[in-house]
Amino acid sequence: MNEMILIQVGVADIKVSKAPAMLMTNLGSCIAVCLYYEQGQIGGMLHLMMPRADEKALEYRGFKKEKYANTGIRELVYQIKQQFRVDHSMLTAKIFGGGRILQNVSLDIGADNAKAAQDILRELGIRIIASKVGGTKGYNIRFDLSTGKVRCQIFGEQEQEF
Amino acid sequence: MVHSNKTINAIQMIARLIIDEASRAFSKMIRQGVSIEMQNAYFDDISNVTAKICNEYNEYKGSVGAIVDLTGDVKLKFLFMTDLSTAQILTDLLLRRQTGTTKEYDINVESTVQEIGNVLSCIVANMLVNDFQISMTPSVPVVLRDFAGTIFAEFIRDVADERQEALVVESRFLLSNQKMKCHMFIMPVGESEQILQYLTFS
Amino acid sequence: MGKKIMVVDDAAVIRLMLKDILESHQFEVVGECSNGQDAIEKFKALKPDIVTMDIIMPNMDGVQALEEILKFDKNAKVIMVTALDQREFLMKAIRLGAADFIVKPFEDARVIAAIQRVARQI
Repeated sequence: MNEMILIQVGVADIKVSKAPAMLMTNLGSCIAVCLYYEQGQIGGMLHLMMPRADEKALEYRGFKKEKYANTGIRELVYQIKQQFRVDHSMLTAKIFGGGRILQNVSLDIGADNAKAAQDILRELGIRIIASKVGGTKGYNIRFDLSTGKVRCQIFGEQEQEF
Repeated sequence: MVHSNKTINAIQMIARLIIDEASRAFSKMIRQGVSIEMQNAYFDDISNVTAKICNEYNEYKGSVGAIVDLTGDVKLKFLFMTDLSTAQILTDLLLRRQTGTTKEYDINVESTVQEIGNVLSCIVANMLVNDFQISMTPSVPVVLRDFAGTIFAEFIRDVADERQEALVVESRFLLSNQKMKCHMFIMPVGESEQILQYLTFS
Repeated sequence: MGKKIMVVDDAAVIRLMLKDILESHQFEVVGECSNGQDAIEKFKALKPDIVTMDIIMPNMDGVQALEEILKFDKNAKVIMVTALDQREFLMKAIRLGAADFIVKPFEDARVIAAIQRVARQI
Protein backbone atom coordinates (compact mmCIF):
# COMPACT_ATOMS: atom_id res chain seq x y z
CA MET A 1 0.00 0.00 0.00
CA ASN A 2 1.41 3.38 -0.97
CA GLU A 3 2.15 5.83 1.81
CA MET A 4 0.04 8.98 1.99
CA ILE A 5 1.83 11.95 0.50
CA LEU A 6 1.31 15.16 2.45
CA ILE A 7 1.30 18.26 0.29
CA GLN A 8 1.21 21.72 1.79
CA VAL A 9 -0.52 24.37 -0.31
CA GLY A 10 0.79 27.89 0.31
CA VAL A 11 -0.85 31.25 -0.28
CA ALA A 12 -1.61 31.92 -3.96
CA ASP A 13 -0.80 28.36 -4.88
CA ILE A 14 -2.28 25.37 -6.65
CA LYS A 15 -1.47 21.74 -6.01
CA VAL A 16 -2.92 18.90 -8.02
CA SER A 17 -2.45 15.24 -7.23
CA LYS A 18 -3.85 11.75 -7.11
CA ALA A 19 -4.52 9.40 -4.17
CA PRO A 20 -2.89 8.55 -1.87
CA ALA A 21 -2.28 12.19 -1.12
CA MET A 22 -3.48 14.80 1.35
CA LEU A 23 -3.58 18.44 0.34
CA MET A 24 -3.32 20.76 3.31
CA THR A 25 -3.47 24.44 4.00
CA ASN A 26 -4.21 27.11 6.61
CA LEU A 27 -6.59 29.90 5.75
CA GLY A 28 -7.40 33.34 7.07
CA SER A 29 -9.32 35.58 4.72
CA CYS A 30 -8.24 33.41 1.81
CA ILE A 31 -10.42 30.69 0.30
CA ALA A 32 -9.44 27.10 -0.48
CA VAL A 33 -11.21 25.64 -3.48
CA CYS A 34 -11.01 21.84 -3.49
CA LEU A 35 -11.92 20.12 -6.75
CA TYR A 36 -12.36 16.35 -6.93
CA TYR A 37 -12.90 13.64 -9.50
CA GLU A 38 -14.19 10.72 -7.46
CA GLN A 39 -13.75 7.93 -9.97
CA GLY A 40 -10.07 8.62 -10.45
CA GLN A 41 -9.37 9.84 -6.88
CA ILE A 42 -7.86 12.92 -8.43
CA GLY A 43 -8.07 16.36 -6.97
CA GLY A 44 -6.61 19.79 -6.62
CA MET A 45 -6.61 22.67 -4.21
CA LEU A 46 -6.35 26.37 -4.93
CA HIS A 47 -5.50 28.77 -2.08
CA LEU A 48 -6.72 32.11 -3.40
CA MET A 49 -6.27 35.54 -1.86
CA MET A 50 -8.47 37.94 -3.76
CA PRO A 51 -11.74 37.87 -5.67
CA ARG A 52 -10.92 39.16 -9.12
CA ALA A 53 -7.91 40.21 -11.10
CA ASP A 54 -8.67 43.45 -12.88
CA GLU A 55 -6.76 45.26 -15.63
CA LYS A 56 -4.47 46.88 -13.07
CA ALA A 57 -3.67 43.53 -11.42
CA LEU A 58 -2.70 42.05 -14.75
CA GLU A 59 -0.08 44.75 -15.13
CA TYR A 60 1.63 44.03 -11.81
CA ARG A 61 5.01 42.39 -12.02
CA GLY A 62 3.89 40.02 -9.28
CA PHE A 63 0.75 38.90 -11.13
CA LYS A 64 0.04 35.26 -10.50
CA LYS A 65 -3.17 33.60 -11.62
CA GLU A 66 -3.43 31.61 -8.41
CA LYS A 67 -3.99 34.74 -6.31
CA TYR A 68 -7.44 35.47 -7.72
CA ALA A 69 -10.67 33.51 -7.85
CA ASN A 70 -11.47 34.34 -11.47
CA THR A 71 -8.04 33.37 -12.85
CA GLY A 72 -7.06 30.84 -10.18
CA ILE A 73 -10.05 28.53 -10.38
CA ARG A 74 -9.72 28.41 -14.16
CA GLU A 75 -6.02 27.62 -13.73
CA LEU A 76 -6.84 24.84 -11.25
CA VAL A 77 -9.30 23.30 -13.70
CA TYR A 78 -6.72 23.64 -16.46
CA GLN A 79 -3.98 21.93 -14.43
CA ILE A 80 -6.25 19.02 -13.52
CA LYS A 81 -7.12 18.61 -17.18
CA GLN A 82 -3.48 18.92 -18.30
CA GLN A 83 -2.10 16.44 -15.79
CA PHE A 84 -4.92 13.91 -15.53
CA ARG A 85 -7.15 14.48 -18.57
CA VAL A 86 -10.16 15.16 -16.35
CA ASP A 87 -12.69 17.58 -17.75
CA HIS A 88 -14.31 20.16 -15.44
CA SER A 89 -17.72 18.58 -16.04
CA MET A 90 -16.56 15.60 -13.99
CA LEU A 91 -15.47 17.65 -10.99
CA THR A 92 -17.21 18.60 -7.77
CA ALA A 93 -16.15 21.44 -5.51
CA LYS A 94 -15.86 22.18 -1.83
CA ILE A 95 -14.89 25.63 -0.56
CA PHE A 96 -13.56 26.76 2.80
CA GLY A 97 -12.19 29.80 4.56
CA GLY A 98 -12.93 33.48 3.98
CA GLY A 99 -12.74 34.51 7.62
CA ARG A 100 -12.43 38.07 8.79
CA ILE A 101 -9.22 37.75 10.80
CA LEU A 102 -8.00 41.34 10.98
CA GLN A 103 -10.81 43.33 12.53
CA ASN A 104 -9.21 46.71 11.89
CA VAL A 105 -9.60 46.42 8.13
CA SER A 106 -12.75 47.94 6.65
CA LEU A 107 -13.15 45.56 3.71
CA ASP A 108 -14.39 42.03 4.35
CA ILE A 109 -12.10 40.43 1.80
CA GLY A 110 -12.98 36.96 3.08
CA ALA A 111 -16.65 37.38 2.19
CA ASP A 112 -15.71 38.82 -1.21
CA ASN A 113 -13.42 35.86 -1.85
CA ALA A 114 -16.13 33.37 -0.92
CA LYS A 115 -18.69 35.01 -3.18
CA ALA A 116 -16.25 35.23 -6.09
CA ALA A 117 -15.33 31.56 -5.72
CA GLN A 118 -19.00 30.57 -5.72
CA ASP A 119 -19.71 32.75 -8.77
CA ILE A 120 -16.79 31.40 -10.80
CA LEU A 121 -17.61 27.77 -9.99
CA ARG A 122 -21.20 28.40 -11.00
CA GLU A 123 -20.03 29.98 -14.28
CA LEU A 124 -17.93 26.91 -14.98
CA GLY A 125 -20.81 24.59 -14.15
CA ILE A 126 -18.93 22.93 -11.27
CA ARG A 127 -21.27 21.89 -8.49
CA ILE A 128 -20.38 22.99 -4.96
CA ILE A 129 -21.23 20.03 -2.75
CA ALA A 130 -19.87 21.44 0.50
CA SER A 131 -19.00 24.86 1.82
CA LYS A 132 -17.81 26.26 5.12
CA VAL A 133 -16.92 29.94 5.00
CA GLY A 134 -16.88 33.03 7.18
CA GLY A 135 -16.25 33.63 10.86
CA THR A 136 -13.37 35.41 12.51
CA LYS A 137 -10.88 32.60 12.99
CA GLY A 138 -8.53 30.62 10.82
CA TYR A 139 -9.18 27.32 9.09
CA ASN A 140 -7.00 24.23 8.98
CA ILE A 141 -7.92 22.17 5.95
CA ARG A 142 -6.91 18.63 5.00
CA PHE A 143 -8.24 17.28 1.71
CA ASP A 144 -7.87 13.50 1.42
CA LEU A 145 -7.72 12.46 -2.22
CA SER A 146 -8.41 8.82 -1.37
CA THR A 147 -11.94 9.67 -0.25
CA GLY A 148 -12.59 13.23 -1.43
CA LYS A 149 -13.40 14.15 2.15
CA VAL A 150 -12.12 17.36 3.68
CA ARG A 151 -11.36 17.67 7.35
CA CYS A 152 -11.87 21.25 8.40
CA GLN A 153 -11.01 22.69 11.75
CA ILE A 154 -11.83 26.29 12.59
CA PHE A 155 -9.51 27.54 15.31
CA GLY A 156 -10.97 26.90 18.74
CA GLU A 157 -13.67 24.57 17.42
CA GLN A 158 -14.04 20.86 16.85
CA GLU A 159 -12.88 19.40 13.59
CA GLN A 160 -15.62 18.66 11.08
CA GLU A 161 -15.60 16.41 8.06
CA PHE A 162 -17.13 17.53 4.76
CA MET B 1 13.79 38.10 -9.69
CA VAL B 2 17.49 37.27 -9.30
CA HIS B 3 19.38 39.01 -6.51
CA SER B 4 23.14 39.18 -6.49
CA ASN B 5 25.14 37.37 -3.82
CA LYS B 6 26.45 40.76 -2.72
CA THR B 7 22.91 42.00 -2.06
CA ILE B 8 21.93 38.84 -0.24
CA ASN B 9 25.09 38.93 1.88
CA ALA B 10 24.45 42.56 2.76
CA ILE B 11 20.85 41.82 3.72
CA GLN B 12 21.95 38.90 5.87
CA MET B 13 24.55 40.97 7.71
CA ILE B 14 22.14 43.82 8.33
CA ALA B 15 19.54 41.33 9.52
CA ARG B 16 22.09 39.84 11.97
CA LEU B 17 22.85 43.30 13.36
CA ILE B 18 19.16 43.97 13.89
CA ILE B 19 18.68 40.61 15.54
CA ASP B 20 21.67 41.05 17.86
CA GLU B 21 20.18 44.30 19.06
CA ALA B 22 16.77 42.68 19.44
CA SER B 23 18.38 39.88 21.46
CA ARG B 24 19.83 42.36 23.96
CA ALA B 25 16.54 44.21 24.30
CA PHE B 26 14.61 41.00 24.75
CA SER B 27 16.98 39.74 27.48
CA LYS B 28 16.55 43.05 29.26
CA MET B 29 12.80 42.80 28.95
CA ILE B 30 12.40 39.35 30.43
CA ARG B 31 15.40 39.71 32.71
CA GLN B 32 16.88 36.45 31.52
CA GLY B 33 19.64 35.60 29.13
CA VAL B 34 18.09 34.80 25.81
CA SER B 35 19.62 34.69 22.42
CA ILE B 36 17.83 35.35 19.20
CA GLU B 37 19.53 33.66 16.30
CA MET B 38 19.04 34.58 12.73
CA GLN B 39 17.99 31.46 10.90
CA ASN B 40 17.88 32.91 7.46
CA ALA B 41 17.32 36.02 5.38
CA TYR B 42 16.11 35.13 1.94
CA PHE B 43 13.97 35.97 -1.02
CA ASP B 44 11.36 33.41 -1.91
CA ASP B 45 8.04 32.96 -3.61
CA ILE B 46 5.22 33.74 -1.18
CA SER B 47 3.61 30.36 -1.84
CA ASN B 48 6.78 28.54 -0.81
CA VAL B 49 7.25 30.71 2.25
CA THR B 50 3.72 30.16 3.55
CA ALA B 51 3.82 26.42 2.85
CA LYS B 52 7.11 26.19 4.76
CA ILE B 53 5.71 28.03 7.79
CA CYS B 54 2.61 25.80 7.86
CA ASN B 55 4.89 22.76 7.87
CA GLU B 56 7.19 24.07 10.61
CA TYR B 57 4.37 25.15 12.88
CA ASN B 58 2.23 22.15 12.15
CA GLU B 59 0.54 21.98 15.55
CA TYR B 60 -3.06 22.34 16.58
CA LYS B 61 -2.92 24.14 19.89
CA GLY B 62 -2.45 27.35 18.03
CA SER B 63 -0.05 30.21 18.02
CA VAL B 64 -0.04 33.83 19.09
CA GLY B 65 1.44 36.51 16.89
CA ALA B 66 1.91 40.28 17.00
CA ILE B 67 1.92 42.04 13.65
CA VAL B 68 3.37 45.54 13.44
CA ASP B 69 3.40 47.83 10.42
CA LEU B 70 6.44 50.06 10.17
CA THR B 71 5.77 52.96 7.85
CA GLY B 72 7.86 55.85 6.68
CA ASP B 73 10.54 56.13 4.03
CA VAL B 74 10.13 52.42 3.45
CA LYS B 75 7.37 50.13 4.61
CA LEU B 76 8.12 47.00 6.57
CA LYS B 77 5.95 44.43 8.23
CA PHE B 78 7.09 42.76 11.40
CA LEU B 79 5.76 39.58 13.00
CA PHE B 80 6.64 38.09 16.35
CA MET B 81 5.06 34.65 16.62
CA THR B 82 5.13 32.02 19.31
CA ASP B 83 3.20 28.99 20.44
CA LEU B 84 0.80 29.21 23.37
CA SER B 85 2.96 27.52 26.00
CA THR B 86 5.90 29.80 25.20
CA ALA B 87 3.65 32.86 25.38
CA GLN B 88 2.58 31.73 28.85
CA ILE B 89 6.22 31.25 29.94
CA LEU B 90 7.11 34.71 28.64
CA THR B 91 4.19 36.19 30.56
CA ASP B 92 5.42 34.61 33.78
CA LEU B 93 8.96 35.85 33.14
CA LEU B 94 7.76 39.36 32.42
CA LEU B 95 5.64 39.42 35.56
CA ARG B 96 8.35 37.71 37.61
CA ARG B 97 6.12 34.82 38.47
CA GLN B 98 7.21 31.22 38.68
CA THR B 99 7.01 29.74 35.20
CA GLY B 100 3.97 27.55 35.01
CA THR B 101 1.78 30.05 36.85
CA THR B 102 -0.02 31.25 33.74
CA LYS B 103 -2.13 28.41 32.46
CA GLU B 104 -4.60 30.02 30.11
CA TYR B 105 -4.65 32.47 27.26
CA ASP B 106 -5.73 35.66 29.02
CA ILE B 107 -5.25 39.40 28.69
CA ASN B 108 -1.79 39.20 30.26
CA VAL B 109 -0.61 36.67 27.69
CA GLU B 110 -2.11 38.69 24.86
CA SER B 111 -0.49 41.89 26.05
CA THR B 112 2.85 40.14 26.64
CA VAL B 113 2.98 39.12 23.00
CA GLN B 114 1.79 42.59 22.03
CA GLU B 115 4.50 44.26 24.03
CA ILE B 116 7.27 41.97 22.82
CA GLY B 117 6.14 42.71 19.28
CA ASN B 118 6.16 46.40 20.12
CA VAL B 119 9.66 46.42 21.62
CA LEU B 120 11.27 44.23 18.98
CA SER B 121 9.71 46.07 16.05
CA CYS B 122 10.92 49.32 17.56
CA ILE B 123 14.43 47.91 17.71
CA VAL B 124 14.16 47.26 13.99
CA ALA B 125 12.85 50.77 13.39
CA ASN B 126 15.53 52.28 15.61
CA MET B 127 18.27 50.53 13.76
CA LEU B 128 17.03 51.73 10.42
CA VAL B 129 16.56 55.24 11.72
CA ASN B 130 19.95 55.48 13.43
CA ASP B 131 22.10 53.58 11.01
CA PHE B 132 20.43 54.20 7.69
CA GLN B 133 18.67 57.52 8.29
CA ILE B 134 15.37 55.95 7.30
CA SER B 135 12.37 57.53 8.96
CA MET B 136 9.99 54.93 10.34
CA THR B 137 7.00 54.76 12.69
CA PRO B 138 5.51 51.58 14.12
CA SER B 139 1.79 50.89 14.36
CA VAL B 140 0.06 49.54 17.42
CA PRO B 141 0.67 45.79 17.27
CA VAL B 142 -2.24 43.61 16.20
CA VAL B 143 -2.28 40.40 18.20
CA LEU B 144 -3.77 37.30 16.64
CA ARG B 145 -4.45 33.99 18.33
CA ASP B 146 -4.94 31.41 15.62
CA PHE B 147 -3.22 28.73 13.57
CA ALA B 148 0.35 29.72 12.75
CA GLY B 149 -0.33 29.39 9.03
CA THR B 150 -3.33 31.71 9.32
CA ILE B 151 -1.35 34.33 11.25
CA PHE B 152 1.45 34.14 8.72
CA ALA B 153 -0.96 34.35 5.76
CA GLU B 154 -2.48 37.54 7.17
CA PHE B 155 1.02 38.90 7.86
CA ILE B 156 2.16 38.31 4.31
CA ARG B 157 -1.06 39.57 2.69
CA ASP B 158 0.10 43.14 2.04
CA VAL B 159 3.21 41.92 0.29
CA ALA B 160 1.41 39.14 -1.56
CA ASP B 161 -1.23 41.58 -2.86
CA GLU B 162 1.38 43.31 -4.98
CA ARG B 163 4.25 40.93 -5.44
CA GLN B 164 4.96 37.28 -5.70
CA GLU B 165 8.28 37.40 -3.93
CA ALA B 166 8.97 38.26 -0.32
CA LEU B 167 12.19 39.05 1.47
CA VAL B 168 11.89 37.21 4.76
CA VAL B 169 14.19 37.49 7.75
CA GLU B 170 13.58 34.52 9.97
CA SER B 171 14.99 34.12 13.44
CA ARG B 172 14.42 31.91 16.43
CA PHE B 173 14.68 32.44 20.15
CA LEU B 174 16.68 30.33 22.54
CA LEU B 175 16.29 30.48 26.29
CA SER B 176 18.69 28.13 28.02
CA ASN B 177 16.46 26.52 30.60
CA GLN B 178 13.11 26.84 28.92
CA LYS B 179 11.62 25.24 25.87
CA MET B 180 10.69 28.20 23.75
CA LYS B 181 9.31 28.34 20.30
CA CYS B 182 9.33 31.87 18.94
CA HIS B 183 10.02 33.32 15.56
CA MET B 184 10.49 36.83 14.32
CA PHE B 185 9.88 37.85 10.72
CA ILE B 186 10.69 41.08 8.97
CA MET B 187 9.36 41.72 5.50
CA PRO B 188 9.59 44.78 3.28
CA VAL B 189 6.37 45.81 1.55
CA GLY B 190 6.38 47.47 -1.81
CA GLU B 191 9.30 47.79 -4.12
CA SER B 192 12.03 45.66 -2.64
CA GLU B 193 14.58 47.34 -4.86
CA GLN B 194 13.89 50.63 -3.11
CA ILE B 195 14.42 49.00 0.25
CA LEU B 196 17.53 47.24 -0.92
CA GLN B 197 18.84 50.56 -2.18
CA TYR B 198 18.35 52.03 1.25
CA LEU B 199 19.86 49.09 3.04
CA THR B 200 22.75 48.29 0.80
CA PHE B 201 23.48 51.73 -0.65
CA SER B 202 23.22 50.22 -4.11
CA MET C 1 6.55 59.12 49.24
CA GLY C 2 2.71 59.27 48.98
CA LYS C 3 2.49 60.41 45.39
CA LYS C 4 -0.51 59.29 43.35
CA ILE C 5 0.29 57.86 39.96
CA MET C 6 -1.81 57.02 36.95
CA VAL C 7 -0.42 54.43 34.52
CA VAL C 8 -1.27 54.65 30.82
CA ASP C 9 -0.26 51.86 28.43
CA ASP C 10 -2.19 49.79 25.91
CA ALA C 11 -0.46 46.59 27.05
CA ALA C 12 -2.09 45.17 30.19
CA VAL C 13 1.08 43.37 31.16
CA ILE C 14 3.08 46.62 31.11
CA ARG C 15 0.49 48.33 33.29
CA LEU C 16 0.77 45.40 35.70
CA MET C 17 4.57 45.53 35.68
CA LEU C 18 4.65 49.26 36.35
CA LYS C 19 2.04 48.93 39.06
CA ASP C 20 4.11 46.22 40.76
CA ILE C 21 7.27 48.32 40.60
CA LEU C 22 5.56 51.48 41.83
CA GLU C 23 3.61 49.86 44.65
CA SER C 24 6.69 48.02 45.87
CA HIS C 25 8.27 51.46 46.31
CA GLN C 26 5.28 52.84 48.21
CA PHE C 27 3.77 54.81 45.37
CA GLU C 28 -0.01 54.64 45.04
CA VAL C 29 -1.40 53.73 41.64
CA VAL C 30 -4.79 55.44 41.56
CA GLY C 31 -5.81 54.54 38.04
CA GLU C 32 -4.83 52.98 34.75
CA CYS C 33 -5.88 53.37 31.10
CA SER C 34 -5.12 51.74 27.82
CA ASN C 35 -5.33 54.69 25.43
CA GLY C 36 -4.79 58.41 25.20
CA GLN C 37 -8.46 59.35 25.05
CA ASP C 38 -9.25 57.56 28.31
CA ALA C 39 -6.11 59.00 29.87
CA ILE C 40 -7.41 62.55 29.42
CA GLU C 41 -10.80 61.72 30.96
CA LYS C 42 -9.30 59.84 33.89
CA PHE C 43 -6.72 62.54 34.52
CA LYS C 44 -9.51 65.09 34.92
CA ALA C 45 -11.41 62.77 37.27
CA LEU C 46 -8.54 61.42 39.38
CA LYS C 47 -6.07 64.33 39.29
CA PRO C 48 -2.99 62.14 39.86
CA ASP C 49 0.32 63.70 40.87
CA ILE C 50 2.20 61.89 38.12
CA VAL C 51 1.20 60.08 34.93
CA THR C 52 3.30 57.48 33.12
CA MET C 53 2.29 57.67 29.47
CA ASP C 54 3.07 55.17 26.71
CA ILE C 55 3.57 56.82 23.34
CA ILE C 56 2.21 54.42 20.72
CA MET C 57 -1.40 53.57 21.62
CA PRO C 58 -4.72 53.23 19.80
CA ASN C 59 -7.42 55.93 20.12
CA MET C 60 -4.97 58.77 20.51
CA ASP C 61 -1.25 58.41 21.08
CA GLY C 62 0.60 59.48 24.19
CA VAL C 63 2.01 62.70 22.75
CA GLN C 64 -1.45 63.96 21.78
CA ALA C 65 -2.81 62.93 25.18
CA LEU C 66 0.06 64.80 26.87
CA GLU C 67 -0.83 67.91 24.91
CA GLU C 68 -4.49 67.72 25.96
CA ILE C 69 -3.66 67.03 29.61
CA LEU C 70 -1.34 70.03 29.70
CA LYS C 71 -4.08 72.22 28.23
CA PHE C 72 -6.27 71.13 31.14
CA ASP C 73 -3.53 71.47 33.76
CA LYS C 74 -0.33 73.19 32.75
CA ASN C 75 1.41 71.85 35.85
CA ALA C 76 0.60 68.20 35.11
CA LYS C 77 3.58 65.87 35.47
CA VAL C 78 3.67 63.34 32.66
CA ILE C 79 6.52 60.87 32.19
CA MET C 80 6.66 59.46 28.65
CA VAL C 81 7.29 55.73 28.44
CA THR C 82 8.44 54.62 25.05
CA ALA C 83 9.86 51.62 23.26
CA LEU C 84 11.26 54.09 20.85
CA ASP C 85 14.47 55.87 21.30
CA GLN C 86 13.38 58.14 18.52
CA ARG C 87 14.36 61.68 19.17
CA GLU C 88 11.45 62.97 17.11
CA PHE C 89 8.71 61.71 19.46
CA LEU C 90 10.60 62.52 22.61
CA MET C 91 11.60 65.98 21.44
CA LYS C 92 8.00 66.75 20.60
CA ALA C 93 6.88 65.53 24.02
CA ILE C 94 9.63 67.45 25.79
CA ARG C 95 8.81 70.63 23.86
CA LEU C 96 5.17 70.21 24.83
CA GLY C 97 6.16 69.90 28.46
CA ALA C 98 6.69 66.25 29.37
CA ALA C 99 8.33 65.99 32.77
CA ASP C 100 10.65 63.08 31.99
CA PHE C 101 10.92 59.87 29.97
CA ILE C 102 11.65 56.16 30.40
CA VAL C 103 12.75 53.89 27.57
CA LYS C 104 11.41 50.33 27.25
CA PRO C 105 12.43 47.73 28.10
CA PHE C 106 12.80 49.45 31.40
CA GLU C 107 14.63 48.50 34.58
CA ASP C 108 12.97 48.99 37.96
CA ALA C 109 15.67 51.37 39.13
CA ARG C 110 15.24 53.66 36.13
CA VAL C 111 11.48 53.78 36.55
CA ILE C 112 11.81 54.73 40.22
CA ALA C 113 14.56 57.23 39.48
CA ALA C 114 12.34 58.99 36.93
CA ILE C 115 9.36 59.03 39.33
CA GLN C 116 11.50 60.40 42.15
CA ARG C 117 13.01 63.09 39.93
CA VAL C 118 9.56 64.25 38.91
CA ALA C 119 8.13 63.92 42.43
CA ARG C 120 10.77 66.35 43.69
CA GLN C 121 9.40 68.96 41.25
CA ILE C 122 5.92 68.85 42.79
